[in-house]
Amino acid sequence: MRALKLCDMRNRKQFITTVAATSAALALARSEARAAAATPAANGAMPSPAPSEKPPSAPALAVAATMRRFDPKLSDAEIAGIAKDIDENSQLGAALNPKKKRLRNSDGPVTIFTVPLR
Amino acid sequence: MSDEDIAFADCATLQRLLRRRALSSLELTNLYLARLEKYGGAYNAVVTLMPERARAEAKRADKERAAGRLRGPLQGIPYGVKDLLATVGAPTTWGAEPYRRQRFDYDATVVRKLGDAGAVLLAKLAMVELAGGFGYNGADASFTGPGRTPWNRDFWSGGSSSGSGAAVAAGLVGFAIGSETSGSILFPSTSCGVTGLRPTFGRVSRHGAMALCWTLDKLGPMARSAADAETVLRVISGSDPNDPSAVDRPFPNAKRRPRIGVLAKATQKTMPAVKANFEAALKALAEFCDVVDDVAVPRLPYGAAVGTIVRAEGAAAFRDLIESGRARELRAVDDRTGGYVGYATPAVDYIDALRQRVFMIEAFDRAFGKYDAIVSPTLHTVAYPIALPFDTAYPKYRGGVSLIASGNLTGVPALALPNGFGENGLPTGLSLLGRPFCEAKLSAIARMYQRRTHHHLKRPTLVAG
Repeated sequence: MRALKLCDMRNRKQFITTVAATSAALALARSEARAAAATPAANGAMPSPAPSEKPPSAPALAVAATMRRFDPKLSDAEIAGIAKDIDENSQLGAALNPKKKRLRNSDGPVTIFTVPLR
Repeated sequence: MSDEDIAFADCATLQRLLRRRALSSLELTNLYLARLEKYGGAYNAVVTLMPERARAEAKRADKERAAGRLRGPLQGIPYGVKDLLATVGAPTTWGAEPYRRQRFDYDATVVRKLGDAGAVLLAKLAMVELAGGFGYNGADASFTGPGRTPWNRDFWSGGSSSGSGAAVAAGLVGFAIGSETSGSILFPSTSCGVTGLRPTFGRVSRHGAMALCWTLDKLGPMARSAADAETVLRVISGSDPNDPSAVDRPFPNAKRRPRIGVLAKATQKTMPAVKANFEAALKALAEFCDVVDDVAVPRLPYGAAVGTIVRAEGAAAFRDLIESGRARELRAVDDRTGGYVGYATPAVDYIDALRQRVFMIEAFDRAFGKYDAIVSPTLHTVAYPIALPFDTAYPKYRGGVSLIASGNLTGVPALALPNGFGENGLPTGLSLLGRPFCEAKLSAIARMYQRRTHHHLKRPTLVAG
């Protein structure tokens, strides 16, 4: 996937285009992507992130924008907030398996959780 | 005894009064109902009072006692439940505006068991909306307003069992039921200076309780003493055909002088009073326990795992709310969008988080298995100020070692108890973390500690409201 940066997006049209394209690349349903792309922003422009803050990634923004299918009133600022948290989640996800160990059948996850009596 | 003394008495004392006929359950119920009305609002502790049901249950308890039908140590004792437990006769709001008018036509198993034991349900108690599953970052995260600790109304009562903690601390109920996914019994117990017992996963049925995370959710007592907490736990524990996770297990007791491990680096990044009170508590514990210093918690990604599981399971549990767009009606700004973040959790991360729990359980057993309890400060600070977002409240004391996430991921029990006071007159606390299904060992240690100290007997000066 092509790396996209929020700061590359000079205007709103480009942002919406990016959202739709990235959504498709993420294999989200086309209708969802269209809905997200077509939904007008509720409350003005995207927030300007503080200089020291890393802006949310374009893939996270794309996923976040699809949530407008549930709440069309989500503002651009809210979408950016969701995207930022999605990025943070990605970091948590990476921390779960830092050595990239491959899952074997013998060490499968707990799917019905019980506490063994020792 | 004065009404005030009765209101703050522990369950064993109340039971003695009832048995001697010095007091009827109806009188006790009326006393607590009056206090809930007078003080409940000042601490945002109550969602719904249930006077009709309470008085009917109290009359039944008195009648049965008069007829010689004794039901045990909770007969006639009034209590409250966190408002995520289904109850006949009152809404079950989950602390959240979208569910404010929600009703169930059955009682949660815990409520039924307490009723069978003769206890008297007084009220549904306030809680953080959806038990905090959507990532709130401030005290004002319930449609009933921010929970306030009875020790200082400018500070939060903790979450998500906010009302349960405040009501016990203020003597508005005999005991309360809270729930914990990751900290929601231990945190408010500490902020309110009460004794909270998080049981082993599977010890208590969750049938009729709001589901946030079915692999983490637990129900447990919040009380004025460790003895009370164990008494309540024994009543509500056991298998339930409506909850396959609930099992029957014995309550093994310590057969020798308890052996306690002190969590390594436990007082790093703690407030000075938290550190001083913890060190004083260790001295008291050393009078009757063998204390081993510097027991390290195995290094595993607890925070990442619990965060991932709460977000993924929470989004699944509230998928209908998220997809309806009604999350916008939630009180806390972060909660209005937090569900969407959970909804986007990759399945692979969730699977990896669950997989880590297998390793965590094994690592915990290797590291802590030879101890009856691991002791640490429950929180690094006193209660959080209501006026500030959590992430800006105590920046100096963030990032210390804690057993809350790891203890919940491994499903082991923990008991939080007060051990003194710190900044702004607020309580501090310590936690005992035990092996699976060894709650009675934790309770025995806590009872001996509470016999030697009197922090749990301190009463706040209340404000009517």
